[in-house]
Parts: sequence; structure tokens; C-alpha cells
Amino acid sequence: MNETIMIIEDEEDILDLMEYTLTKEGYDVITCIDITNVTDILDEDDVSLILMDRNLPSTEGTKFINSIRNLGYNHPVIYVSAKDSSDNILEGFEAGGDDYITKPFNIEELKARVKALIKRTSKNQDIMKFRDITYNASNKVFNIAGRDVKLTHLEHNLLLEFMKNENVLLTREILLEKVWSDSFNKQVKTVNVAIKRLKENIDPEGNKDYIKAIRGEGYILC
Amino acid sequence: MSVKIVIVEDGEDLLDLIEYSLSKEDFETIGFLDTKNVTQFLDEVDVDLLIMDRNLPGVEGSEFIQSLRAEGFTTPVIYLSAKAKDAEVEEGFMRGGDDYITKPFNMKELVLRIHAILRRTSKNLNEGLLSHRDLILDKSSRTLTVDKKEVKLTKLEFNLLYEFILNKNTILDRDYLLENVWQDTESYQYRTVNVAINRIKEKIDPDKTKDYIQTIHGVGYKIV
Repeated sequence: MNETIMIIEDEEDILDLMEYTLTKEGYDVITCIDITNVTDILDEDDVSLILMDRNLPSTEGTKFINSIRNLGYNHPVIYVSAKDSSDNILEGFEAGGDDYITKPFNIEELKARVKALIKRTSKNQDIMKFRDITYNASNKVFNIAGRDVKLTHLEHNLLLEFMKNENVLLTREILLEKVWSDSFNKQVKTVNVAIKRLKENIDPEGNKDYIKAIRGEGYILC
Repeated sequence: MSVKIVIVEDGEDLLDLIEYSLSKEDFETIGFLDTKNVTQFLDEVDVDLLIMDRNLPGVEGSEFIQSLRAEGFTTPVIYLSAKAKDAEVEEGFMRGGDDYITKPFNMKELVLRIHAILRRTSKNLNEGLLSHRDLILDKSSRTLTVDKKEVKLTKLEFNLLYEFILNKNTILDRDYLLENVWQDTESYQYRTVNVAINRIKEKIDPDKTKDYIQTIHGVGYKIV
């Protein structure tokens, strides 16, 4: 899942430059040339960061941020502004900003500051990938080929164990110990049944062959 | 508990000045003239923020931060350095900094940048509002309003709800909640969590129509 950045900037050249640069970095970008629809978008989309100009036609950027802070919007904000005096910068922070970049700015520094702030505030850091399976540890959801897959608690733990041990042969005994650790029902057959069911869930057409059975040994995700 | 800030700066006069200014803000400061004993200190004390010079005797500041990050320390870092070239600033961020201030600097700006980072990262700083749907938590007065009406919460309930809103859309399991809200996984049981959550639900949603906190069977809870 990409992080979404909202840019509020009335000069189209700068807006284009920032949008181009951040898109190339792998972010989804929403652009606004004024503040008209900003709160609606914040309500509907999962915005990770706001880049905020200050000299806007209808309002002043810090006043706007201050007003949305008072409504409880807690999104990280970086000002990008030609207002570059010390007092201007202090105003920006006092109005609830997280960082302040003065124009003209170095695009590499903008990228670095965006990345640093998102890293601190993002909840989507713990992501594991295997082929077209991704696992998001923050909400414990597996996604296969772009679709969220519903698994039982046991199947979740089982697939997670395989993801942690990509390309490693796991014997039934190891799986019983790791996945069924607090269960009384510890039979080798239990593992076979659970894996069969897991395979049906993650590969209903049976053509992806994520988990292979190695006869007499165990199973491997490869 | 007060906010603890470690300052690594080899200019003694400047170090004194920073410590003085930050102590006036009610921060607890610990100064170091080089990086030699910093890692050990971070191991022993729960530090909220590092302020890091770069030109130091011994190890260079950003290289030191890079090694800290490699060891798994995630303490937020603000560089305070005379190295002001674009490439140097980028280097500072790449090696794991959160912010970069070039010398000479404005002390008031340093203080505000510290507050900005701590608002996001520290449990020990109490300021700012946090909202979710019609809930608004005010950290400074520790009050909750639901649909603009104030609802009384205990300290624990406030912290619990705060943790949920901070982790919107994320399932929090009981172990996580015991560790982060009760800050004690030894003497409490899962049932403690269940009971506390039921009580919060009754307080913030007495008519049971809003369904803020959902139970994810076998996993935990999340706020929606």
C-alpha cells in the first residue's frame, strides 16, 4: 500500500514539480490549488502527510492548519513556503506544523524530510512480501494479488510461519510446535488438514503452488 | 515523568546554553561532549530525543547515528550542525535523522522543532488534540468530548482510548495493550483488558449505536 501525500500549492509549476518527484518516489499524490476541498479529502482518504504552501489566494496556510488542528485533524504537516524569516518559521510551528522548508528548496532535502516524517508517523511499516502475497503486520491482513484474504486465526499463524521461513523446509513437528503451541490437538494429521485448507484459501484455482509438500519431510514455501 | 533529552555537542558554551534553554521548557537534559558514553546511556535510560552535533572529536555525529540505527535504537534525532551544504543535510537524513538544523540557529526554532517531534513520538509530552469521528481527546487537559459533550474518563481509560486512536485501523492485541497502556504484562490478565474496554464502550457509546471499538475474534480490538 502506498502512502498518500496531499500537496496544497497555488503555483502550478511548483505543484507539478513536487507531484512528479514524489510520484517517482512511489507515493500517491493528491494535489489541491486551494483549501476548498481539503477537509473533505482528509475525511475520505487515508492521507499520510500534507505539504502546505502559505501564501494562498483564499487564506494563509498556517491559519488554515491551525484551524484544522482545532477540529482534531492530526495529520503531519510540512510547510513549503517563501516566507523565510525566523518569525515566519516560528509562526509555522506554533500553528501546528511538523516541519518547515523555505523556498527556493532543494528537492532532495524535501524528499528526505518527507521520508523522515512519514517513517515516524506511519503505521504501515511492517510489511512482508512473498511473490504476490503481502502481509501487513499492523492490521494482520494477508493480501494476495491485490485482494484481502480472510483466514482463520490458525491459518493466519500458519501462513505467517511460512512467510517468516521463505524457502525453508518446515517439518510437521516444527509446525506443530510453532503454530499449535497452545493446543491439545497435536497430531501430525492436523497439520496436513490445515495446510490443505490453507492452500484452498490462498490459491483456490490451485495453479500458484505456493506451498509444496516434500514427501516424508514436510512443507516448503517457495 | 518528564521529557529527557540527550545533547551531544563538543562546544561547552553552546552545550550550556542549549541545556539552559531547554531546562526552562521543563525538559530534563543530559549533555555529552562526545559520543563515547552515549550508547551505554541510551541502554540504561529511556530517552525521548537526541540533539546531535556532527563535527565531534572521535566519531562523526551522523556516522554515530547510523551505527545506533543499525543496533536498533529508534530514538528521534535532530542534528544541529555547521555542515550546511545540501549534500551534507541529505547525508544526515539518510543516516537516520528526523530533523536537521544548521548553525547558526535560532534557539526558539530549536525548541519548536523539538516540540513538533515530541508531539508525534513521546508519551511524556502532553499537548495537542487527537480526534476520531466525533471523539476529541485533549492531551493537555486530559479530557474527552463525544459529539461536543464532555465525558469523564479515568486516567487508564483515557490512555487506552488514546492508544486506539493513535493506531486507527490497526488491530491491537491484548499483549500490545497491556504493554503499552498498562505498561505491565506480568501482573495483569487478558480479562483486565476486556473489562476496561467494555467500560469505555459504555461511557462513549451508551446507546450502543456507534460501534467505535470492534472486537476481532481471536486477535484483538480496533477502533473504526
